[in-house]
Amino acid sequence: MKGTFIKTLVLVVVSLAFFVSPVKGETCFTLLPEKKVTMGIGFGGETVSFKGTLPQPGTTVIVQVKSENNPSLKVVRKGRVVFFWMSVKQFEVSYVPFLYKIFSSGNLTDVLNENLKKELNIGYDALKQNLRLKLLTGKPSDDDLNVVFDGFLKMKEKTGLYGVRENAIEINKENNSFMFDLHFSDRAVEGNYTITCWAIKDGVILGETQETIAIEKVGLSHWFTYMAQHHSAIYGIIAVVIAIVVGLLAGFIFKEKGGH
Amino acid sequence: MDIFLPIAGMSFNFLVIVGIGGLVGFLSGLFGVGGGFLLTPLLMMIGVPPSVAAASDSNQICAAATSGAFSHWKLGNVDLKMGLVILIGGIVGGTVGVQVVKYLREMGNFDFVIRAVYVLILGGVGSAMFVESLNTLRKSKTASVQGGEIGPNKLSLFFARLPFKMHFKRSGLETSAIFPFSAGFLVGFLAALMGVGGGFIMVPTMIYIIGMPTIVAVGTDLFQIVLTTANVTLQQAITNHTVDLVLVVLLFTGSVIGAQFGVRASRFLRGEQIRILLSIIVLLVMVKMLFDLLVTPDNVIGLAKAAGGH
Repeated sequence: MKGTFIKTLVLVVVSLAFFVSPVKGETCFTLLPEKKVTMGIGFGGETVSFKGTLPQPGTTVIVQVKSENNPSLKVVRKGRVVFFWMSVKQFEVSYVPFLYKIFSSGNLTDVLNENLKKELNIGYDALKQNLRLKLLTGKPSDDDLNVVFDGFLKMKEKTGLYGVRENAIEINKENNSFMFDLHFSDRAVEGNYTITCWAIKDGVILGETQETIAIEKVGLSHWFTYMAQHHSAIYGIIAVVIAIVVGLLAGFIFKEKGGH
Repeated sequence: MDIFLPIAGMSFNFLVIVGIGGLVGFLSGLFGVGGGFLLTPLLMMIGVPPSVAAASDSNQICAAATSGAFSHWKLGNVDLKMGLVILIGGIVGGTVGVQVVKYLREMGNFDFVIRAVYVLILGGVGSAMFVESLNTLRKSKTASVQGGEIGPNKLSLFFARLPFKMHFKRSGLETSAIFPFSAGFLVGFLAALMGVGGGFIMVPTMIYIIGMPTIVAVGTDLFQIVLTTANVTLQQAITNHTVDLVLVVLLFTGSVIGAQFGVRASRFLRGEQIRILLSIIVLLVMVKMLFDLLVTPDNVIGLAKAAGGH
């Protein structure tokens, strides 16, 4: 009985090894130099360098960077009311990443066939399919999804949070290695960001690797945010006390007589 | 060198922020005005979310008005009773204003409302100042302008007849508390909405409508500004989470330095020349705000609530 159980267990494990897809191919990339980006008071965005090795010559590499924490957000659509531009509708946008970037060593249209596009679920088209739009105020119209999605992309690209950059990764043909710089804009928020790398040749995925990088506020930047969000009354009192003390101090230093 | 503004959630070269503070401080020293009405629009122009700009500006004004208020207090230029009546109005107005800001942010129309209110107020104040200083400039060519205190006028006599009469010893007045309270309410409301101290409304109101002596009006105005903006700062921090202390400290540093140069520069200009220059600056800011409201935006989609708040 005991022997049959062990044999069955071995059989199940071996079967699973065949049916569960393995981590594809050889190492596609490694993260350099750290897995954390810190947002201190001097943070103005940060660039993280990556390097990797491709499994075969002639392989195209695609890197996708995506935020893990993606809360719904409210956006407004502006319209002209009499002469003025103001918000006329409000929407809740969900199931879209806060940050989304794609880099590749070739043209995506050449590399990704329809099957691969579906399998990898990447690109702006995939984002648009996943997006859920809920009208909160105003009257619905047929073009809402297109207008909101296009405006949303424009807004994100302007702040450096979204981007698709084809032919941005250069491959060293001598040793099949590549290196590229990923810039996190100052508008990035705290949280984990998943970086997925695919090595693709002739419509087949030869390798896939995934890494996570964290963005964290540190020092004064962390303290101010924490206090403002979680102890807002104390933060407000501190702001007022600082203003009065600094104001008096400046008055004594410059012996200013008045004026505000 | 970049500096990260943790509440605004964006970074700027710190010289840009100190420079804006310095510019407004310079104009403040040159013209003898608060400059809050210029600071909020300038911050919005460089991309700071309007709600963060207005709330942080209130805190900065609190710092900037403190030393002046303290000096006037020591000199006995503050009518404490009048100041308290205005302050009660200011606290009520500021609290209502902060709730209105919260509601407008939820609705996604705060950006529009702040620009529209700026257009109205800057347009009104700028035009009136421009016309007045132009007239003074013309008159000064023919006759010398009479100085001195403004005596009781029809308006101040009318308000004095309203109920809730109080005696204000320092101002030498017996008038209704209704108008000072209402003026305080309006200024507190505007402080929350626009991040202004309201001196450009309160001082003329106290002199021309309530009938207070000029020096007491200035001292009492500074006193109420410190406490009204302190209340607005606290309320904004609690309700909207939009006070960025890093931004405030940088702006204040710039404004203190800029004000010193402004005061020196003011010695080279006559009063009416200074006022006409200020009115042109005010009108230019107004035109820029109006332009933003009328011209088709680059992107018709925007965030309902930019920065701050949960």
